[in-house]
Amino acid sequence: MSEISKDPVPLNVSYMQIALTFNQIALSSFGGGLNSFARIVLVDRKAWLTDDEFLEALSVCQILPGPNTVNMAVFIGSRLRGWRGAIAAFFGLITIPLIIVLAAGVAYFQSRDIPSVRAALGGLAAAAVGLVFGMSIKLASKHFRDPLFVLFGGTTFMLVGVFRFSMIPVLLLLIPIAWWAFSRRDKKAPSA
Amino acid sequence: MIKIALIIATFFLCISLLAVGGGKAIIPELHHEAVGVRHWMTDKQFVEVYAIAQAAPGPGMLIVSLIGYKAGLEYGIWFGLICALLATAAMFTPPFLLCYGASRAFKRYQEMPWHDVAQKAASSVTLGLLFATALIVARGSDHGVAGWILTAITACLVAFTKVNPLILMAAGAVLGLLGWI
Repeated sequence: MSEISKDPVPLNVSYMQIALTFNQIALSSFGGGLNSFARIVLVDRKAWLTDDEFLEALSVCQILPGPNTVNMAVFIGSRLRGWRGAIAAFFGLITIPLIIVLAAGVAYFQSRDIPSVRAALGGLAAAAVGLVFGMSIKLASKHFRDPLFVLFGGTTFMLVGVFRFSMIPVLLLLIPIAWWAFSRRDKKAPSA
Repeated sequence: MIKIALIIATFFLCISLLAVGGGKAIIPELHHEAVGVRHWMTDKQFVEVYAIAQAAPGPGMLIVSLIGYKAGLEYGIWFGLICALLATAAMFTPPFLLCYGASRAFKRYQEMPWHDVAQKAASSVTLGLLFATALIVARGSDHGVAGWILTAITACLVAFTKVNPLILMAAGAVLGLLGWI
């Protein structure tokens, strides 16, 4: 496996292959479990990237704004075949899911007053609410012991969630302070 | 009509640049705008549309397509669909350009000395936004005791196991259909 992943990026990847691969990744991912599957496809099966390159792409994409999955597609598509590759990866990822979501949305707003649809949606929404709680807990569990995470996460939660401030001023205020606090602490203890 | 289209385009263009740490961080702001400021949809519709976007394959951020659709729907389904595409394009274009630029600019991410600190600062704030999202969608859903039990079970399973969330959502829809929620 490691020998395969050391191969240089093959240059003969076609735009269609890129689009179809990201389409496959998108259709196999529900509720946000995309990155682990993306790694299996891109690193293990296709060997378009090494593990290190994948991690690198992931961490760049996580600090850029936008959905991580879309960023990954653009980043990797562009590494493979330039801007055309980025466009192929983007539309491969987004086209079929967009059609599915729009079809579901049209059906929803036409039929949401039918009792059985309403009942099914009620159950779906209850599970979706649980999903976002569970995901928040899972992501936060790594950071509960870091006082700076608790401080800035907690402040953001109070301001945006409880007091319903608009997100933009809150972010403009807190991100620079958080940046300053983290860089100050990490300078003292570079291993953190 | 043109006014709605312009509002959609400018709002989603701006907010796309604030979606730090993935899309879910901007859900509170989407809710604020779509429900509170513009009255495009009710609290409950927002939660249900959120559930649909989560249940569908692909990026959960496609909720913006549904918000755009509902905003345009008062002028008919076709204008709704146009607004959906407009919202989607506005939401995805700025991140696309930024990310493309980054892939050109940074051959290796170690070249970004501030990378580590930026990621920590952004993710601490993002975690707060995630919990705010949870609170907002929980408030908007008006289910009974059975619904809250399902919410709690789903939360625990997602937090502490690796079960596929789609199975839980399908189970939720079936239980709802059976009249248990």
